Amino acid sequence: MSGPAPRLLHAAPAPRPAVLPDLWVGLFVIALGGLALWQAAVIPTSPIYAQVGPKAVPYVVAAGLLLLGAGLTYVALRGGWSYALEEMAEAPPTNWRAITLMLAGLLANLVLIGPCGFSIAASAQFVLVAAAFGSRRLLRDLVLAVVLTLLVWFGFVEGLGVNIGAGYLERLVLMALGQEIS
Amino acid sequence: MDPIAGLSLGFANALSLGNLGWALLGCFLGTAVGVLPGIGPALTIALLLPITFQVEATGAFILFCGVFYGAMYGGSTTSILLNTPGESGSIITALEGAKMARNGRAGPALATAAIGSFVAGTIGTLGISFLGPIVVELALKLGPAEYFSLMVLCFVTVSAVLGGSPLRGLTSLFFGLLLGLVGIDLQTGQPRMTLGVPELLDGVNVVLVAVALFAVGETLHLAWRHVGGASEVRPVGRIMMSGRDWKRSIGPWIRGSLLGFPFGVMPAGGTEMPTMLSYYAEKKLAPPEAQQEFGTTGAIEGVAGPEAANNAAAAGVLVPMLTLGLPTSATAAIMLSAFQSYGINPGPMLFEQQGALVWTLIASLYVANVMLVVLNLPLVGLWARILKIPQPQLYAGILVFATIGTYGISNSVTDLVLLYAIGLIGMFMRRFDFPTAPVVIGMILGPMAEQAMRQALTISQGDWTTFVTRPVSLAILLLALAALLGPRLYGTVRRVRD
Amino acid sequence: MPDRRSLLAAASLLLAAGGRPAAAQARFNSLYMFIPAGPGGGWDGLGRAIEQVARQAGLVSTFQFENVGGAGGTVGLPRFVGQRRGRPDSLMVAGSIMVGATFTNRTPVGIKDLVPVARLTEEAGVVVVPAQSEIQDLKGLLEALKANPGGVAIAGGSAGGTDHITLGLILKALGRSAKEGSYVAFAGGGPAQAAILGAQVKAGISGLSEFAEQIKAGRMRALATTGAERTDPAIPTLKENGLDVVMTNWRGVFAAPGIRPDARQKLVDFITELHALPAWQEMLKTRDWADAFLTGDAFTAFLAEDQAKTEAVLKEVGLA
Repeated sequence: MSGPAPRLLHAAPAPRPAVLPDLWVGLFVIALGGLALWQAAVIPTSPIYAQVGPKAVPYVVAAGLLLLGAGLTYVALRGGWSYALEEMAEAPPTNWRAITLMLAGLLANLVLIGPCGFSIAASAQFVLVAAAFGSRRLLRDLVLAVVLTLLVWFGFVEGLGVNIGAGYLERLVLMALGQEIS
Repeated sequence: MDPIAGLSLGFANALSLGNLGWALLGCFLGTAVGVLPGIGPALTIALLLPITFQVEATGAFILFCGVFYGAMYGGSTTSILLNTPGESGSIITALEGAKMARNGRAGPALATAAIGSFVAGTIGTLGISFLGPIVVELALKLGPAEYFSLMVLCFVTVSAVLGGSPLRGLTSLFFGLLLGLVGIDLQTGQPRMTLGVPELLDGVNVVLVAVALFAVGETLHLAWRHVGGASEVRPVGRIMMSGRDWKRSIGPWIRGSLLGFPFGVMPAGGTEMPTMLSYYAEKKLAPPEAQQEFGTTGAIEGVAGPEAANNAAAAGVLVPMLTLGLPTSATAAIMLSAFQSYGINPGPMLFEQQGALVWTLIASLYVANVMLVVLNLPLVGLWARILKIPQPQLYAGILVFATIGTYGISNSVTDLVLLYAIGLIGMFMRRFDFPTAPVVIGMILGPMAEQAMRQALTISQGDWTTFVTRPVSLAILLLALAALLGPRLYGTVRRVRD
Repeated sequence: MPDRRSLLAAASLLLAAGGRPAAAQARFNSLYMFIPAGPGGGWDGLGRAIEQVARQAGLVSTFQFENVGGAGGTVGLPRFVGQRRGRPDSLMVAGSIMVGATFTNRTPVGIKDLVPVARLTEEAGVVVVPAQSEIQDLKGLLEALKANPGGVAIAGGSAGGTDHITLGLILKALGRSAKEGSYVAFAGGGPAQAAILGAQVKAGISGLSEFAEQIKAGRMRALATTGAERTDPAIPTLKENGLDVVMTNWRGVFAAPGIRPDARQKLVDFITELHALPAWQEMLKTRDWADAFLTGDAFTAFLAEDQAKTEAVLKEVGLA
């Protein structure tokens, strides 16, 4: 769902219900319904079916999403629902450092996995995510990550014969083991 | 060969040292791949196929059956501990299982899953031995119209996971239906909802979505709300099931098994539908004090039932393969091609021509089942200790784990982007109290229901009455109606009487 | 992995430059095999079978595999064309399914962008009816189809696939339009077989190997096979019945675009030599693959014809 403004939520404490985030959710669902409607409309019509063609169910789903989105928007305008959630009442403020590190971890993996191979990408992700959860022992995490990901990689390649792209790290280890690189 | 004579011959073969070794290796491998999301028994057996050129047939099939049964066990372990289902049949197990684990009941959850799997595996294997051919003949009477009605019945079960607000629950369901539509339409070959991305032409993998919503979304949400420094330690609690746990599990095990086996036998049944129905049934049948645990602290019935249903259905899948040569799941299809590479033709003649092999295979299913429960029960304590890993490393590990399963097979960065994007959506769903289970249910049932409906309509040349003029289909639809209205009527009647 | 690729390319370039005339024994130090499908499927099986035989015979010392699956091969196809352009050491496995998929998915890159090397195997399809069906032979089915195509529900694999195209060709040969057929698509062979065995549909079309056991056991009646010649001596072909329809599910290997003619010849020679090995014949037998070896201009001409008739049917059913 689209990014709400959580800071606003906490800036306005207790009784006054925070309408804005919930409204975003309603609008997001409407947008999703709109997207579905557009995608349903561009499905090429096919001459080979009886009664129910390829477009019927997509239209139903799109209509459902639009209706539900309208319902959610209505509820949001009437005060929303998330202020009543138990969890929100006692929730700590957004931990921006944690969420940034976390997203950086995911992004690092996406960017590195192609050019550098699985182990490096997954290790980077591991270290960043662990840091997001407050781990301060970076070096230990790194060692742990490298060992873990290499074990997994060899499990895949040797055990299952599945090629998950040898990167720099894997080739280094292969060379250290004196194996031919194929 | 009658079943008894066949089984005694089969056990004599299966219990040889060499074959026990193959079974052990298969169980071990199967558990390992079952644990990994995205890598299922079908792919594992496909990758092991080359050994059919070196190993004699009996050994190879015992290995494959071990992998098959083992994967069912492994899939539930990660569902419960890490909220990361390894197979689509284990998705429902994660609903209550992960909640139990979070509340210090990982041990009993794992134990009830393992013993439930054993009970279901045994009932299923007994079904293969004695009922197989009869059930298949009955299952063949079901056509697309009946399957559509069955899926309508399954949609009723969504109500069990909608959560507090029907509006938000239904939004989740429709989001799942939307995801299920992505890809090439089976009936007309037209691409739908793909946004022009070729990687989406084959659709979105349901296990990927389950892992994204349950594991990645959860982890992101935790990080978002994470309080720096203070890392909560999850209690591990007692490992063994208490007397009360046993009492609460036995009914669900048996009901789940009896529900799962026929679904497995049905050519278009699969393992997902019975797990949903079992979850629904157990939630409705549970005593009031247990009902409060559903969706909150985790109810053991919600693990025992679906897990048994999953395993019994898996056993059922072997029936049409062995008796008719019908591959009704990807795993069965691969096993069929393995048969062929030995020059054995599975099919109606298999029991007669290859009696010794088939009965050895069936006997080895019993062996694998015993082996798995013996291997897994002592491991429950060890597995549960995974939760003692400090939070940072545990969650980092879960994410790496989800990544491997997704990337390992497809080698596709698009899949990873999808995993993380749906994970982000999952994070916001948690924040705004949208239940995630209906997404997965919608994704599984939606496409199956749509295709069955359109197949039935093509066969009937566009006649809608086909769903109510076929007696079995009508009966199932009436059952669905009863399941939908029954509880409400019952409530009204009781209120009036009070 | 840029440096390994360039290393590979350098090695093969060296080989190609200093190599003997292509007609001599074709040897590769290293060969890159691209499979536009996931591990474990039919294309993967063919690729790995080539590896097994070629390595044992010493034709190629090492193979490097890459699997990029999805959408009938059309996800992997552009990747192969883009990344391996001009590389003389690269092969890709493909087949009739990709021909159809490039039309239905309307991909800008198609089989025409590949350099044909050889067709290796094929499987004929078979037209069946349930054993209890009132339709006794092909003539009966064709009459029913000709009279009212919509009334004869026929089960097969996904829409736009080989089975569906076969039905389209039959209808066209009968003077009907492919879109008039009542085609019920099933995901996977099991559910389709079940629908036929349970007489939910009137007839079915699929690969012969999928239905062979049910035919042998007398639960399905085979009316005709779809190859040019009989695969099973007991089952006549469509052609023998006066219907000019030949449709098989073939598999072969292709080279990357932009390679020099001598490099292509070298690959053709390699596959020709592989095909002549007794080990390959043995492999065909164990895997139950029909030999359909065809190379050079004959293969190119076959491809053109296969594409033309596939496109014609797909156009009629609104898929191309």
